Amino acid sequence: MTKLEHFLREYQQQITRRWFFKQCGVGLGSIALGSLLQQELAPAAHAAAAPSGPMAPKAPPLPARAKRVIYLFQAGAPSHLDLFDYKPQLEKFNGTLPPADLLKGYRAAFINPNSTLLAPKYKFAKYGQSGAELSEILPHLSKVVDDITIVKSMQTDAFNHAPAQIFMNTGSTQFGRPSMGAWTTYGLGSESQDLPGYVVFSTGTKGTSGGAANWGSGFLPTAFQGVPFRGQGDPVLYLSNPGGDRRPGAARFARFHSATETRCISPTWAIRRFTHALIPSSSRTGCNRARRS
Amino acid sequence: MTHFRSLWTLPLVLFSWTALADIDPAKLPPAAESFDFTHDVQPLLESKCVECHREGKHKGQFRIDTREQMMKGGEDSIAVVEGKSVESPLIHYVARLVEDMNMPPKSEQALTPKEIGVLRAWIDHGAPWPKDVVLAPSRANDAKMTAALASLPPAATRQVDFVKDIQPIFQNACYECHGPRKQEAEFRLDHKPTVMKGGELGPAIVPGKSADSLLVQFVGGLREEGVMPKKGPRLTAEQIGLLRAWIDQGADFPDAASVVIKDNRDHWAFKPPVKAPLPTVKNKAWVRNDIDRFVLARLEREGLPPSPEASKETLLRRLALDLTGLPPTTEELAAFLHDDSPDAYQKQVERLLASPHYGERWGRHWLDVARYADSDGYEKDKPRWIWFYRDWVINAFNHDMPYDEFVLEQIAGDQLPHPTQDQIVATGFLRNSLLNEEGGVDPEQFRMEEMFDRLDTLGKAVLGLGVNCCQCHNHKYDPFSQEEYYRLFAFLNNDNEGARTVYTTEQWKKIGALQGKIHDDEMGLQQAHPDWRERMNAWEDALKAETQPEWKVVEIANAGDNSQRYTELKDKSLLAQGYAPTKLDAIFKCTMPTAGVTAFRLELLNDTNLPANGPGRSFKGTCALTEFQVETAPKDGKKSFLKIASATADFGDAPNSPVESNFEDKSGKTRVTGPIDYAIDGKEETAWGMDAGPGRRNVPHEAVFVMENPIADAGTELTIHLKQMHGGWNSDDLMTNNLGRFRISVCTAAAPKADAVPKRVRQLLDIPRAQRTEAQTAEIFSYWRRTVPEWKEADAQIAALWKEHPEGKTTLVLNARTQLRETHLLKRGDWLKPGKPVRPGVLSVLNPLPADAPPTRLSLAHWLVDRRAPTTARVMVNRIWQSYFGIGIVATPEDFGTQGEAPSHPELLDYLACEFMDHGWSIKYLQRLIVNSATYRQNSKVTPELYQRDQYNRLLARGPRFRVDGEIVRDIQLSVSGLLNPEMGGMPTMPPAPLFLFQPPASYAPFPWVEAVGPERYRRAVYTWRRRSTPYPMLQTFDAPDGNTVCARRSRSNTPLQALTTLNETVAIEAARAFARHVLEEGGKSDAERIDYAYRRALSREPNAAEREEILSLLTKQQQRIAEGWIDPWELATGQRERPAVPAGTTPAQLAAYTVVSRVLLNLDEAITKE
Repeated sequence: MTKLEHFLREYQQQITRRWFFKQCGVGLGSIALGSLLQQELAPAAHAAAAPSGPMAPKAPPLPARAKRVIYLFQAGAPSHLDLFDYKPQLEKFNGTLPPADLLKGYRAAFINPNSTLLAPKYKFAKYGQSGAELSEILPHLSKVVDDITIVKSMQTDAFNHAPAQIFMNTGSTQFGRPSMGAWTTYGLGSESQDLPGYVVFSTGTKGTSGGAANWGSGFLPTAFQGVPFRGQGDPVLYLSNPGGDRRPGAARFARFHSATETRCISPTWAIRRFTHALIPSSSRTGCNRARRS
Repeated sequence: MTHFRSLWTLPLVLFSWTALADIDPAKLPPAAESFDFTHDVQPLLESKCVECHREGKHKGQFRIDTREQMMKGGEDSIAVVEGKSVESPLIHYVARLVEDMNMPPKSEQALTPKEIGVLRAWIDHGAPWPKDVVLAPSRANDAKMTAALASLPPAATRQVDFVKDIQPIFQNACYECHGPRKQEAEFRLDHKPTVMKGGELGPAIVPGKSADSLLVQFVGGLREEGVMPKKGPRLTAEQIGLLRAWIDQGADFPDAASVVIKDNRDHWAFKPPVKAPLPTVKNKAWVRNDIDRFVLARLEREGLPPSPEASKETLLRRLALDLTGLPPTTEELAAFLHDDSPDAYQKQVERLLASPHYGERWGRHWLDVARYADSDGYEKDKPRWIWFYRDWVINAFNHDMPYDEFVLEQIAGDQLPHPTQDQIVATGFLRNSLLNEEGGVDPEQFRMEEMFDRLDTLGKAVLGLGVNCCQCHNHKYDPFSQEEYYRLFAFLNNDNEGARTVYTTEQWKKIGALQGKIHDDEMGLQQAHPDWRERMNAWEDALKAETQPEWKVVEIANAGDNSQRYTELKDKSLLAQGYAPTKLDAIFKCTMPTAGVTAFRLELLNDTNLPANGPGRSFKGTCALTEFQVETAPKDGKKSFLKIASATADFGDAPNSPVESNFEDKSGKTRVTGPIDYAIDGKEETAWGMDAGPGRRNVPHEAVFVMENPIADAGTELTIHLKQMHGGWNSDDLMTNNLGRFRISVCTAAAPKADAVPKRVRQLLDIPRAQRTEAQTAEIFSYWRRTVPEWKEADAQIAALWKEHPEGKTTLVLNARTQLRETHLLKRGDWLKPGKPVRPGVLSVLNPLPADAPPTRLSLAHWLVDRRAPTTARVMVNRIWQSYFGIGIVATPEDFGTQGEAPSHPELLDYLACEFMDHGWSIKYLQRLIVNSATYRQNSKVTPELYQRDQYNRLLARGPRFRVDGEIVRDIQLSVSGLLNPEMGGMPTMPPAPLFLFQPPASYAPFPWVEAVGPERYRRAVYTWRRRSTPYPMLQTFDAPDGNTVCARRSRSNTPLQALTTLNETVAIEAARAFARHVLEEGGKSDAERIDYAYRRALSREPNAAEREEILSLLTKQQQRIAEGWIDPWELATGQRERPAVPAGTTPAQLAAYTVVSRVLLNLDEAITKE
């Protein structure tokens, strides 16, 4: 077979979508699609093998209206006092020293005895039917203000960045607690058994203070920790094959696994079975008892 | 706990537990001029105090109805100091000076100043009390009550039924605070005995007399304490009527309607382990040691047979992975397979236990609970040097240090008599807490956070108890109170937290040799000059005759807005802590205490909170002073500085000493340190440096700055600038070069100079000559001889020797304070809300603390490892068991409390714990016991039926089978591929990692991850640099803990990221390539031989025919693909397009094809599984 013939044959194989998704997976997205397609094509078979394991979907305690959660943690954003939280009193006392009884017993490192109060830097107005007060630097948000919820009832005494960010993301200033995303996937599982249920992007000029603990699983199993995605290169670490091979020997690897059918069952194995589909077929490890079609 | 009262009387005096310190006597109303007990005091006590503090109701364990009781005091302290009302807590309480202890609690009942005055006068006169007078609650109260009772709704007239009529009322209105979750006032309404007995206020129910029943009085709103329920709507008249009828009808509470309360002090884990008799089993032939009896007895009860022994190959691999974390080599495997002696297996056990890799494997377990990491955590997450502790742990396991000593040294090694460096290094255990040094922190806040973490660690790692729950409140389920938590806390609250300079054994040898040589040289000088002593005495006399300028310490206050924090110490020096900027102009305000100040003295002092004891904050404890300036009132709106005429110092760097690489600032300028003149030359590039080199640098220094013109007036306000611009570019790294602890003084003498004699020598000279030891005299000689002009040559020789002194490293340790801190209970765990002071103490449910134990960490440590400690041994044997079988006998190794899981084999757990302690707490003894058991040696095959029956193998009817820990995944790759560098210990390594992870925005601060090249790249994973905010991705993916908190049990996840990691991660690929090379070089001539060899290397077994066939066909296919041009063999096999030599007799195509095969084998589930 010449190289050209070989290439043509492979090209023809790609014509079937299903083959493509199943056999040519190089990224998690395509793998997921492949698996979803399988579910779509064989609903009965899918129902028979309802996923178990840590990521199995679980019914929420109340009927869910939200389909997904996108949580933007905007550390270093302008102060709430300049965006959502209008403080007329602060306007009034602008430039004055805070009342002594306010600071009595207050222990915070940055407080210089000569620091004066600072009024909001921008004009506020009421918007929408709700009459929510927004500052002038949110002109677009003000148009949809009735469609959003602003929570103003939260407060903190976490004064420094790292503890405050850990607090915001895990509910405690002390390390070791699960992050919000970890709790969410723990409680609800994931619709897709083939993709991480909880992913994290970090952008901007600086990372979060406290790092991985902000999306960690704390005392929950590590399966629930956030998977950081990258904005460039491989979206997830170690997705790419090493150089030198232009096409993964996928089918061969899968066949090998069925040949080495082993006799193991263990708790790990039980979990592994269901994460199996996540793995690009070129990268499956472990014992593959029931070969998936 | 009562025995503490007497126990701590002595420390009370010694360590001044002064609750009094906070009380300002000026705030107390003056004592009355006269009093009369019967007319003034008695009515006062009866109307305001006795209601709650009398027989039957002693709130706070305090009674005031008799004098004897009153003098006894309450649970916290005495109440009345005879003759001293100012010191009597009772007076402080009624004067409402002690937060949380306002008496009477209700402010409207507060005593008037006049009434307090009466009590004061009475106490000052010795609190006289007429004989046999017993106080009773004021009758005035009774009268009011009688009137109020009339207003109660009448009792229902029908027959009431408790379950139908009464319990629902309790459930809706009362249980929230007086039920299963909370028992306010020690009262609960779901438990019959408590209902009948009553709570803190005494009986709640008087059967037959509803109007006299507290319960009714409360719901009827007749009580001064308030109306019940406190929350939610009041009971209706009808409901109160039903309650009344129920009580009037006899308060029948059927036993069946009551909850049964188990005494949580009765919990199994709070009782010391006792060996149960060995169970008898039927299948005696299976039993190899006593472990098997316990396991088999249970299996026989369940009707399950144990599994047969695993094959020799499997056993050796399992054993090697368990004991050393490395798979057996092909040679070790062959030797074992060919060894037919009856003790072949035992020989392997001993070989592996003796391997230095044993410590690396088992040390890592302890490092999990020790939350070991190589960075500070939080935002800056700076590199941290504490790997000497990591190596100490590994060595301790290798030497089989008894576990009791192991714990003891980690908690209080420094408090043992004549502690060794190792014993001090061990205290790094508690220091592994995270440290926040971001801008604007209050250092005390984060010291407290560290304390909470230490209690948590101690609880989960050593005690196996969730004591951390009590930071904010009493434990909800276990019998630990919040106060007990803070009593444990008080043991640990007395340390300074610095770093100590440490040396390796090799370095110590060198230091010993050097010191020997220096000593010899000095002895030589003495012998050559027999009159040395007279000459030295003459020098001393002359020195003492010199008049030293009189220095007056001035108070300085930080006036800068940089974020470094300063703590003023007792000697008026300032200690810099918190965020450490690398370049700053630190400014301080001060007032001239006297007229005519001619000079300023800057002292740099040691402090055990600083790295290497300081006096600086740099990683070596050094610092550099760029400029010293004195600013005065502005002139013409411009800053104005006073002119400094000259400066002297006791020491200075050689001129033009270049700054260390750590202090590189990327400015491109040549920055130097040198003599003191550099601090007054007005140049930002030059600084006074005082690094006397290793072994001699961490000593106090001083500099004197003489003003051109004296400062005329006392009271002149000045601003001192201590410019420190000689740190590096990154304040998130170890680049600070700031002053650590310093003090400013002034004098009025003309042209004073810095004292050239070191402080240490001055101290020795202060000892009268006759009382000095020879060593002290020798120390003085060492200094003096340098001042003798004709000994220059000898001095140069010795100075040259000092230059050879090894450069140590620092490691974090505990430095016990001489002055104990006062520990308070923190309300809701908030460090800003201190409650009452507490004294060191232990959990009362566990073993008692000896009555004469001093309040030191060492006492705590001894208590932890006491033979009677109920949990200590159990917790350790359970964790060891867990790492063999994947799950502990107690599945919650961090919680042996009432909420933890019950043990699957309680007698086995206790047997192991007792054996462990009876055999000198030897961990290796325990390992032998486990691995030699038939239980451990079973094969791990499982039938679907058995899997169904016992998914998690709690019954142990089969051997363990688990994916190995993350570190071992890496170690297997390195070991199989032959890349492993077996070197032990030392600075953590930085194997390949995606560098972007350590740079913003993935990381907050840039972290200097410098990818190791050469053998350092392939050290065992236990040595990989652990950065808390950026865990090493390969290890994190395989569930290695992040070191933020104690981890007693790793979770074992199974995610696609793991497959991607073993397939494509840099070291994994390098391992596949190196493995391929070894297979070709050593695996034999034919492909079949090579495949067999590769199997033995990677999986410790031969392939079966089908496997061999499959791999062969994979090889062929790959070679075909190479031939067809699908694969670039060089790139695949080397990662580059370079063309290094291939193994003799092979082709690049073969190397590439075998690289593919190696990668497949290393990615098999079996390769990273303990079978």
